[in-house]
Amino acid sequence: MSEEKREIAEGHTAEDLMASIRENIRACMQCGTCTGSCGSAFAMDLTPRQMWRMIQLGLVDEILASRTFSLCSSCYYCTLRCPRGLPLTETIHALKQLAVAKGLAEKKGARFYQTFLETVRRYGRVREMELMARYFLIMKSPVLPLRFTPLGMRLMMKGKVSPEMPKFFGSGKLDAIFRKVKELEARS
Amino acid sequence: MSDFEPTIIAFVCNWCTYTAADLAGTSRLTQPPNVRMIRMMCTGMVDPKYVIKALLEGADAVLISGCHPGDCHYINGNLKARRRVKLLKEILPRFGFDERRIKLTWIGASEGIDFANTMKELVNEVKELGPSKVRKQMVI
Amino acid sequence: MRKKIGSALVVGAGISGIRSALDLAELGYQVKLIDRAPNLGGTLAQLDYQFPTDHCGMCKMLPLVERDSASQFCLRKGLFHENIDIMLNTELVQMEGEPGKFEVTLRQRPAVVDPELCIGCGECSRVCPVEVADEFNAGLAKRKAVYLPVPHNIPNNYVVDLDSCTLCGECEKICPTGAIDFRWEARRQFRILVVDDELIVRDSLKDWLIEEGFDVETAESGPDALDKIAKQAYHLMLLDIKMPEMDGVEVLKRSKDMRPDLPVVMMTAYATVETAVEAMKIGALDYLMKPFDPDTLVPLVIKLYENLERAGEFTMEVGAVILAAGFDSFDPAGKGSNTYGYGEIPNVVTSIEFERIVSGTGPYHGKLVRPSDGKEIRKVAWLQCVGSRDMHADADYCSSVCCMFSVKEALLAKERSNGQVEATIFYMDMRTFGKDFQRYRDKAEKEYGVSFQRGRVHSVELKQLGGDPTIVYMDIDGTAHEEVFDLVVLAAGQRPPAGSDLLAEMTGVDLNQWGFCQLQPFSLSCTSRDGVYAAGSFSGLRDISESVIQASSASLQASRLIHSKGGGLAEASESEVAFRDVSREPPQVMVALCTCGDSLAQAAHLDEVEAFVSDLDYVSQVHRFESICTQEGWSQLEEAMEENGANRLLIGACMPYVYTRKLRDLGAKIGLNPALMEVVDIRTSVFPGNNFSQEQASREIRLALAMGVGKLKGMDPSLSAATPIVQKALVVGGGIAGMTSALGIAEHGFEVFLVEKAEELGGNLRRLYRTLEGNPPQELLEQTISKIQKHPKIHLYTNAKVLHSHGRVGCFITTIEKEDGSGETLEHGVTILATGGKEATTESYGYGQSESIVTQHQLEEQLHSGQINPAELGAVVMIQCVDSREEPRNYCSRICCSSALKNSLYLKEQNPEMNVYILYRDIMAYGFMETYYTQARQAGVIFIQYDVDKKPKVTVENGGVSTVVTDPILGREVMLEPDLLVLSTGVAADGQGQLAEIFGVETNQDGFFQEAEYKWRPVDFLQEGIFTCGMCHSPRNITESIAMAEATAQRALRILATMRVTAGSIVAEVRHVLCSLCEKCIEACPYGARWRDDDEGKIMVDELSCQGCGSCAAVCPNSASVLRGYRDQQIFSVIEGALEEIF
Repeated sequence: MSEEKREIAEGHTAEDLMASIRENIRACMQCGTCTGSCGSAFAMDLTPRQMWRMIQLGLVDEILASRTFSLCSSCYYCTLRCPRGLPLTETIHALKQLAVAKGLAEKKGARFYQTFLETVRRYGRVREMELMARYFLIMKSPVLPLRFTPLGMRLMMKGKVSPEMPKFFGSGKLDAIFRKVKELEARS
Repeated sequence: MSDFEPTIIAFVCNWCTYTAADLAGTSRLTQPPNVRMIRMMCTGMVDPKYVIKALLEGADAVLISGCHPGDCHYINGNLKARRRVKLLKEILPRFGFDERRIKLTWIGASEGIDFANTMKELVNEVKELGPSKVRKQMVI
Repeated sequence: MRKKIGSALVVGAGISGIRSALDLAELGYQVKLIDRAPNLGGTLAQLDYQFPTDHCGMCKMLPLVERDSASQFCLRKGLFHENIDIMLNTELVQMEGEPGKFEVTLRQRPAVVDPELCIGCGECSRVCPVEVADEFNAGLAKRKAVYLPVPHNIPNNYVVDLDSCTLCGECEKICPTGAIDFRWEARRQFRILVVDDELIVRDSLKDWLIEEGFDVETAESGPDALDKIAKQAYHLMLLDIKMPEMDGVEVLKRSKDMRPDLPVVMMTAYATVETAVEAMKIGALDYLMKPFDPDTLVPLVIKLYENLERAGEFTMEVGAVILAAGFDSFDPAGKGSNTYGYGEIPNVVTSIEFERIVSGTGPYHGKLVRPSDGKEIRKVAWLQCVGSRDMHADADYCSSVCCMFSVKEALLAKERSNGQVEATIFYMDMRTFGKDFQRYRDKAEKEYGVSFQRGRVHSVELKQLGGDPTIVYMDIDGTAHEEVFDLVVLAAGQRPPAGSDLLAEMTGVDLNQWGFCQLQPFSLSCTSRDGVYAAGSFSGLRDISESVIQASSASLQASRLIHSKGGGLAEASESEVAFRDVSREPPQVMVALCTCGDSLAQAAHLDEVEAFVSDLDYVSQVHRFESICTQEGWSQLEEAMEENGANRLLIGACMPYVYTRKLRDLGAKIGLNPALMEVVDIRTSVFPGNNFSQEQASREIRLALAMGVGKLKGMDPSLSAATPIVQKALVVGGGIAGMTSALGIAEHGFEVFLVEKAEELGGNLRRLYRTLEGNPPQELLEQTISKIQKHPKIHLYTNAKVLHSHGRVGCFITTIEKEDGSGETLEHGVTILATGGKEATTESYGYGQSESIVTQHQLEEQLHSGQINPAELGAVVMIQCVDSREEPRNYCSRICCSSALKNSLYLKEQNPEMNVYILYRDIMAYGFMETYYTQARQAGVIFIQYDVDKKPKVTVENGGVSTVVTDPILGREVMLEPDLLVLSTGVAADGQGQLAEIFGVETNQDGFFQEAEYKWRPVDFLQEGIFTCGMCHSPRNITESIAMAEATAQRALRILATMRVTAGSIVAEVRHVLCSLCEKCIEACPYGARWRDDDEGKIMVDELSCQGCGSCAAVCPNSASVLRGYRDQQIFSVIEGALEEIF
């Protein structure tokens, strides 16, 4: 997996993305419902409410430096309950895109997703051992695999994970789909 | 005396307490028959003379009941009543009347239950106090 | 009571309906007041405690003058006014015609219980087997199918809820007066034809319906049916759709030809529902779905029968219609997500349910216990904005009242528990925008320890076994808290009432996007249809005080319309009844005993009672009547009175209040003042259930009668004199409020003196150029000024001021100083103070140190004049609540937040690139203004909230302004360097103190006029005859000022409308011979109705101001001051009568 800067499709600059994010969030009145509803809020450094506030005040870089938006599990609780009817989950997705577009895909959270998607692209499904192997490689941390070992052992004993050897060259059957998605993203 | 049934005169205000009394009636709350209600427009209208007259005529107790402070239809009549009753409670014992024979309560229009309970309690209290000595001891 | 030509219909008998109806009735119009519920009072019947006293006070809405024409008892019991005809269980079904001449059709649901016969003994309820949820107690308790809708109501007629009644007939059997009548006989006359090709359907239907007492025949096919209807008359046809040969629709068409009046109900299987709906268009009444089961079918048919046979429908002509249909509460378990677990998690209740819990008539008799297990409540959370300000609940508006009533409920909880209850209110903005609201909230927080948490709670969870709800909420800095409460109260918002769309269609009024009645610009009562006016919550989101004001505004409009179409208000129609003067006759009391059939004779020794009563002093005769409540019985009574010439009447019967109207009619008939008639209750003691022996019952009756006679024999026979009224009005202040008031009165034909201290009319309105809703204020100003100038009855004095005023209602004498310095003395009957307020000045935030710092109003003016050009501004900061909502000016000025929104939206519109920041404490965008708040945010205005102890800091350096404020969410300081700093300083009092001295009225601690009563008499002063409106009372916007001015005009008109006004038979008077001029009575009077006339050396009573409270009589050491109707002799006789038995 190379750390390439993803090319931003034309007509879809980071500024545009930021503008549409700000547009979405303007009507937020900081009532606290989203933060209160968020299942992942305990792990975030900035609460969702604080994040929306920062968007309103234009402190984008700080947001992108935080972990908050990448921890969103897309449960949609916030969107369903927001009294202003704001599209919060979509906006978080947009933030993720913005982060990637700005080349901030260095982040640990993003890397897991990227690895995941890469596996899916190659094989059309997740092959757990391969996924983890690639992930550990990307993370470049020798400690990480050891931390996951107990979990991995338990899963293997229960037959949830098959000890296949990772293939480094796969079939890539879903390439076409991924390409199409990129095209669509470019157009939007 | 265990079979003594006190006679109590109650000056009730036309607005809140009378409504509570009616409510107690329509809610079928049993009320002791010892209480004779006299409807006044406002407790602020209860002249100390009336209380004294009632006691002198042999009433075992006098109850004055009106709207809660703040509710008075005539703004502050009930507050005037409070001051008068306080004075009466201070003065009347000097003439031989137990001050517990005069009572002031606030009962709101929805408080039918409170009304019935107040009456019952008062009857019980007065039963313990015994009958008024007016007829026996006083020369009027 | 005067009677004028003109009538009106008021739909809805809640608080607004009652206010409008009373207003119009006091003017002399005939009013029909209807409500579809079986009781009066609307939502307020369920609420016992209101701000600011945290008690009731509804009775203060009753008439203050001409009191004898109305009921003088607690309004929750019922309402009576000579000119009002109340019809309950009634709905408006059709309206046609034009303003001034509407033809309205009303339908009254059939009453199974005859109100004339029901004595409210409650036996029927005791034996009824059906239990359903009690709506009066918001579902927290149960009631029977035959029930008392509201416990206080008089007459306390029981009502049968036909929807849940199983028709077992037990109640009918046990009723002692035979008041319940399901009319079985009539059913046998009701012929039903069942048409269906299936035998089983025909037979089963026939069996079920015959069991119910109907006469049923069957037909097995279309032609058979048609044959039958041709031969005889039927009252109802149940018609199947799918039949061979001829299908149901065909039969329907033909039957409509043959017998157009025959009601037809289609019976359809699931597949043919659409055909059934089509059939309804051709004339079928309704449709029933197969498969049938008797439990659903039979009640349906019975309902149809009831509606067809017994519903009383009639049409009448009215001049104007007022819609006071009220509101419904948002149901948190309704459509949409029920994240609060309402109905699922125990101990989550709505605010109405909480009010029922604390009410004495509620399910727990006022004890603070919770519904699920009766445990005492110790920890309560209030969740605000449930169903309001929420896009997901379809409500981008603020219900306006919830913040205040939650604070009130928290205070009630604290009081009831002696401070033991822990109360927390979770809110987004605490909207305390009304008069004295802010102080009330502060009292709750600081004195009573109610905790206010800013942060919306999203859901309530059940994590504990005992049924204690848990709330998870976020602190402002992001820390999560989890707390367990005993009870969670959802402050549910307001919704339009059920059926409002039908009502709107019927009456031709438009509804706004949220379903509330749409109002015309600048009006709070005019709808889209002329002649139809809206009062109260029907047009949305208002509290009691605003509803009362608006209801009076609607009645002014109605009166104006009726008057303009030929109603007679200026002329008094001569219908004053002459009562004969019996003051020279010795009292002769006739005692009428209602024996209630035999029941009284069985329960007590009637002969003994009669003998006893005859013996009493001054009783001339005693008669027995079988049932005074019936027509027959009453006519017998009338005859007896006419024959014997008695001059006092004592009736012993049940339910004294029911006789108010009857006594007045009797008085008119025989020429005797109704004040000399009284009804005492002799029936309650002998109700079944009260186990009195005959001895005891007789004694009770004797006592009641003795007391009644005691009071009556000393009753003052003199007739009350009427006070002449100068039929002119003085309006002080020519702003929009003063002008509207003046026009309201002048358009009824009375002269008005309008005094304005400035050169031109308009007041603050002169300098307002746009409103938040986009309506044009300057146009309004021009139109109003032109109307004033053209009106022949308005005498305008500009550059004039009031020097001195004295007098009483009906005759005030005021001296003014005119333009040229000369004085003029004006005589008028009423005074209206509408002097307005001014924008407060400030020294905070560097005001005055730079040209870039302006007030909100200055901003508006400078934008209009061009002095400020939006295109040149890069950043603007507005600071709200400057010097407001903290001592010494601890009140909210209400209009600043909407002004800020208005100006910021305008600025953004003119220059979208501009950065606009609004620093606020709470945004008071109440009611339908909430949507502008959303718009402002969407437009990019940045709102930063600050706390009163962390105010923004402004520094002015070298002409540049910079502001530092802490953003509470991020916990960081934000520095803003605007080109323009706008301070919302609010509204301050402007000279009210001086005027108060001149006119003898009060001001409150903030310098605004002190009204008689915030909720029930918001435009009156305690001094009768003087009224106030507009900003001099409290800050309010243009539309609200106009409504208040209209209400004031209405109140003034009821005094001006006749040439002579009587107060009531119960008034104070002075026996000058005994008076020592100690003046104690003058102090004691709360209405300022007494004064010392130095010329005569006497204490005088202003009868029109006197309300008959008797304080003066109680305080007078010589008994020189007496209250007519309650003289000492009378009370003494009553006491003696009560204690007679002791001897």
